[in-house]
Amino acid sequence: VTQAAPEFRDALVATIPNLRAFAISLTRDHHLANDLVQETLLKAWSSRSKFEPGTNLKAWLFTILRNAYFSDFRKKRREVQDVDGEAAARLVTLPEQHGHLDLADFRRALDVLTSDQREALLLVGAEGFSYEEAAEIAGCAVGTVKSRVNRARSKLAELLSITTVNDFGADSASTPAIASGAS
Amino acid sequence: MQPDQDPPDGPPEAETHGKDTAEMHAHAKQTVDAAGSDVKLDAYTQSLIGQKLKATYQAIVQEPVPEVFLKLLDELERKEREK
Repeated sequence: VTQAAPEFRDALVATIPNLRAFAISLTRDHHLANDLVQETLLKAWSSRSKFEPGTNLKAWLFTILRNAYFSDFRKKRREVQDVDGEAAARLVTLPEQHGHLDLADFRRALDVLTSDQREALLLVGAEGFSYEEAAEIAGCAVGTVKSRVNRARSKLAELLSITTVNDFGADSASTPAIASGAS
Repeated sequence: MQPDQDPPDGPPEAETHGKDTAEMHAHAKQTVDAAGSDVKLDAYTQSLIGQKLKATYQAIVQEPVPEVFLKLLDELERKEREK
């Protein structure tokens, strides 16, 4: 049974803000994210007959978006996986900012996570999907999602506690090395 | 359906500056090893991370939807009606 066009359209419209937020979080590029959402909507519309009314449309759409991103869009942007590099270094706050953790700090910390960790954390922690739903969307085992979420949280806690290095007298030269986890 | 290991909801404030942040660091330091790998964080730290994550994400969700998406869907629906 194919859902009627008007109802399907309305359901897609209702999901666009979440699709867009997920796309922006994955790509970290608003323009690329909008292209990704547009492609997702086109694919969803053309595959409408494959969607079973009454099942989880949001999960179905997230799966389409996620697959489009990992099969195509990711190639269009340079992946930033620089735990030892710029993103981690930017997390180091100046002494006068000590104790102040704002959303910009948090966004930068998210950027340091691997794509897999960020995806799992966003699906479970931000979108509220169950581990089982997130595993279905990401095409992996439930245990893998749980591990990725756990590692993502641990990494964030580690990164966001970087500000405390100032408590131990780290100077401006050694702080980036500490922040990046160098030994 | 809720994740079976999701952290409990914390206090409603989106911002956790100052004292909360310092507490978060203290808790994190106690429970995260040097590699930051598969270590179970305490519920309080998980809750604070969850709050920050949701606040960051919701800020994007609440952005206005670009008109281009609505026009695209209108066009797709119109074409289908004309078939």
